[in-house]
Amino acid sequence: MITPTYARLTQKSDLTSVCLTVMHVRKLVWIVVEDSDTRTYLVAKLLARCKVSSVHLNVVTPDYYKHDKWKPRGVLQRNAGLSWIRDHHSIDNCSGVVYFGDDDNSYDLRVFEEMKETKGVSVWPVAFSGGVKIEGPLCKDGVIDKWHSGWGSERPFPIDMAGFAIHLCLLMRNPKVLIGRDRQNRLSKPGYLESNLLEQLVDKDLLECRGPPDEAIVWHVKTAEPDIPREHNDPSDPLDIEWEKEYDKKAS
Amino acid sequence: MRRALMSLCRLFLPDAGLRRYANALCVVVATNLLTALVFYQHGGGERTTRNWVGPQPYSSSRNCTQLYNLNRPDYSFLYRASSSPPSPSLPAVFVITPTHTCTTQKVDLTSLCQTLSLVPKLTWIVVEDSRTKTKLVSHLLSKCMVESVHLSVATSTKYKSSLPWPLYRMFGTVRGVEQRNAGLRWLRENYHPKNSSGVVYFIDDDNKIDVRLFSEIRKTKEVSVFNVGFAGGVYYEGPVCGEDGRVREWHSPSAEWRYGMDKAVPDLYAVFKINIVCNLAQLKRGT
Repeated sequence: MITPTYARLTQKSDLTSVCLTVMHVRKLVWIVVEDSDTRTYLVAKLLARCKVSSVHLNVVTPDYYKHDKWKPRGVLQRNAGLSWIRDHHSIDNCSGVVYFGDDDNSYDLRVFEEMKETKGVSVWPVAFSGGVKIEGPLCKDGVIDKWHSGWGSERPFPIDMAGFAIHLCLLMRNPKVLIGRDRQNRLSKPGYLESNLLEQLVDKDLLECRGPPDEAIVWHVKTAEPDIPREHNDPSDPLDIEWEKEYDKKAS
Repeated sequence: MRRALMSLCRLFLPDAGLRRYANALCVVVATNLLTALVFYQHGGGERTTRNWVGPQPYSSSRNCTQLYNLNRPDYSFLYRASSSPPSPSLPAVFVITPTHTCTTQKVDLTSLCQTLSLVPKLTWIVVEDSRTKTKLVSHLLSKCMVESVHLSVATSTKYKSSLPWPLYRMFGTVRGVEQRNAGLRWLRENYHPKNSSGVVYFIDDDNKIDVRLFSEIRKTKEVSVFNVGFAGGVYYEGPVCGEDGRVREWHSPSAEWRYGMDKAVPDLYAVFKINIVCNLAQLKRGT
């Protein structure tokens, strides 16, 4: 499972909750890719504490994208995760499933059970994304009935990043497929990241529609920015880091 | 360039008011011309020099990836069903969660369930704000591995506010009072302190909890208090602990001494005693 993350106030709480969710899943490798120039102490401590096999990477999104109309969020980080996976596996040894899970989502454990049976690309609907209660394919007996989305229904795959899982062999067979480029090797438009990735890998008819009917198993809950109007300190104060060190001293 | 344009303006526009307007226009035109020039130099259009797709090297050296060791002591107190059961002397933890029907009820309860199922000897008391027990919550609790108790108490009219959200947060009353009291009442009827010691803790379903909290709570003798992240309008709100484990002062924006709902009370008879034991300050994040 590839999780891009970046430094913000709620980073620690989001990563903690994902860690505690993912602890229940067997045989999961959690790849956390930070958007920073070094591997931060906060994330490193969290992953060391977390009882999940994890990989800690870091790639910086360069500053000059800050003033673009659309800043690529997590693209470089997810591609870094993909290249790590490709480096450490081969076409002969490619059993496994790749899932892009953001740290601000909530996951029911059934997601991980469903995606383990993936043979190609499996999809399921995601709640609260695309401006509607549930976005994505609505399944009927394992076949996709229709696609529901509040925004961008002209996209070939109107689905959120957390709504699909790809079998590793597919990615190994197409080693140049990355997020952010479409079939003609042009840069993706905003909102088309998932579509451009999936259209390079699989046809729409071959998607495996999973998930319980009329129920969501992944919630695209964007963690709210904490409401702290009375705080005047600089947010870059590493409060957590000092306390972690104190806690370490007292525990040891 | 700006001065040239301004002098031109002065020639053609003797009126001061118009001149001011034209002055502003000149600035806009000048900046636009400048940016156009810069753009032209850089080639404009598709930025071929910028590659935001990658792949880029994912760390300073490709060998520096680490798979972390699972033998860290921090989460070692957690257990799963396969490993040995907890010792009988371990104090039990009772978590009271009031909840109400809203869009995020299922999400919040699911994530809480996943967090709490990692903690041994915990009883989760979920009290709904409704007249009857809803199917959603009972279904969720039946699937959850946590030992849970499902109650439902409808909020009476004296606590309800006729104002809509968000006005009732500012001018209305507190939510979840009757639900929490119902939880306490259930505990008093069904729990015998002679069997073992226990700790009561109130959690809201929209908060996020680190599991290390529970190992700290179990050490409570009377009342323990700790910090909560993002509460009270500041980064963290709570007690500042002295070295003897007592509260030295409160780190809180309001001048008076303010209790949050974030305390653990050991026996049911010890409610707000004078001695407040401050255990290790543990950061708990609230969303």
